[in-house]
Amino acid sequence: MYKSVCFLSFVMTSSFSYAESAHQHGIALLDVVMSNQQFVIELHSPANNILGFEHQPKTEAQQQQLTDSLSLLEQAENLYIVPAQAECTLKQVQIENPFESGENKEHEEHEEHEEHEEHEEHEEHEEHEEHTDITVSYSYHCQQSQYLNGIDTKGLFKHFPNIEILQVQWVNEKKQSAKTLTQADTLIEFNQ
Amino acid sequence: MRLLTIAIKSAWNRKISLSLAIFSIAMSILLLLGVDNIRKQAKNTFINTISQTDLIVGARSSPVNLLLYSIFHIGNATNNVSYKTYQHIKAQKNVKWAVPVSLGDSHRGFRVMGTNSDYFRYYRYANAQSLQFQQGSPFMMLYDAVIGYDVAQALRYKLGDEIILSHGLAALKQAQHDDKPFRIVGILNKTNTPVDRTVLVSLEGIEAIHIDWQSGTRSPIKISADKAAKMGLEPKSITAFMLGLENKMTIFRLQREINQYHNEPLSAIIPGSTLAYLWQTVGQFEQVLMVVSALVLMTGLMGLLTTLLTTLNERRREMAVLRAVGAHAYHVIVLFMLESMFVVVTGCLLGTGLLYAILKILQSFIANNYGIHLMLNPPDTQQLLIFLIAVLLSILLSLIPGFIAYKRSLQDGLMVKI
Repeated sequence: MYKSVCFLSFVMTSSFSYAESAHQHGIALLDVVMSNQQFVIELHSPANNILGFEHQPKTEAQQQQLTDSLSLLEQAENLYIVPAQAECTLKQVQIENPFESGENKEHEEHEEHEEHEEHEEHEEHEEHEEHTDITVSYSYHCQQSQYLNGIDTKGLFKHFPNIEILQVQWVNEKKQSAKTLTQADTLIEFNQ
Repeated sequence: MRLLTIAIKSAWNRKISLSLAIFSIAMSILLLLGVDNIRKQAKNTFINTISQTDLIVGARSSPVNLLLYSIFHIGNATNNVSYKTYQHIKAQKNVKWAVPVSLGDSHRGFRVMGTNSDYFRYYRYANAQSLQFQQGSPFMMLYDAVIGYDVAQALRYKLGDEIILSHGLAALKQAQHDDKPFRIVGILNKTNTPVDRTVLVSLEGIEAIHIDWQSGTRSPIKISADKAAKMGLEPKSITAFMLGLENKMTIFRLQREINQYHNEPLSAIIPGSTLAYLWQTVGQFEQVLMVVSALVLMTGLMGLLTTLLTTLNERRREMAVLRAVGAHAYHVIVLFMLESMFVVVTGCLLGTGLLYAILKILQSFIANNYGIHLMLNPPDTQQLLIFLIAVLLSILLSLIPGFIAYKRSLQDGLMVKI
């Protein structure tokens, strides 16, 4: 027992802080869940990976950058390749934009977000304001979900080269697993 | 197949060096297969231990740590979760079931786990199998205990036996809960998971035996078993709990909510994902081990080549005579091939046999100490491939002495002087 504990504690000390979603530039998280015909991909990333900065856009160029990036994030078909046989249609894209347009966003954020959950996020912001995360969730409905055997995130890496590591957790009716993706390996397979 | 008889007879003449070669091949095959077997089975044991549990929640710690102590009983919890928090999360509308786990005590080297009867209803292992009772039933009374298959086997317990739990993991004399014995009411079937090696009691039972204990030692005021049973036995804290959800779609949201829980720092993990991350890291060690074992096999094969080459001189006469009585050049080469194939095949068989013998002997030791249940499975395709590669390499390598012998046999002819 002692030996195995030694070995495993060695393993444990290596970077494993997945669930805590520590804010680390270059690393983004992707949560994928499918059940019945619902299929949701949720991307959590430090704003820096997406925009190249993490503060309120200050210049014209940064404002433009923000607008461009957000519209890029909305086009799921450019970011993820979902198997065609699964006949998935994108139902909704929800972006939690930390920099809602307008100067005094602090206030607006309060007013616009009604849900309890987002309140919590806001409180987190205040604690360490220099870090900002962007969360995007893509909801699909898949007619033939039995053919949903994987997705390719090539596009995400291509359009947002600042994402170096994508830590994927996925859950379906039968299995739970995880995989770390990089530029070189962008494929998630659900049946392995 | 006259060639075969010649090869065998010739080999018999060099039995010592060849049997050493066989032995070294056997050893390297033993190592290679052993490493492969253990890594595959360790992975299987881990993967088959938990199924159908959506989230595991514990005090904030690394996900792997939480998974290892709560489910595999490896290592210890960093902290506890308050029972209030457990009840609060259990009451969330999306939560279908929540099963508490309370660890910390032991019984003669086996872990004691406090839980409730939902554990028997909802815990699943391997392919969604539920726990089955070999004898008896779940615990009903305060001082009832259910024991895993291995516990019953190792300690020869039967239903109705009384057991004394020890405080903590070391079986110290002064740290026995001997005033409150438990009665065995159920014995579980074998699962090949850590459950086999666990004594299961109710959370209230755990609470009752600690009721007159303070900070790890027994307080002077003794409270008898019967008296304790009448006191409020709701636990203040538990080690961790498992969650099942109504709708899987909400799993990540709930995970995030729990990770940001206000009243207490918590970690919620998805067991399958955490295992996958664990294996991602362990996989690198595995690869190193496999490479080392493969190199050992190469060394074994090189040893075989050396043996064949060094005997070349002794066999000059043999080859020359064979050629003189009409053997073709390829016959000479085939002789070497047969010989090295024989060595490698025998080595593989011997190595596999040794491995199974060793596994058989160590089986219970490894299960007891490392929680890994090794099965004696026949070699899988990957392992058969290893055999095939070894044999092919041996044929390839045997070409070297084969050609040398063939060349020489032409030059040497039947010269008297060598």
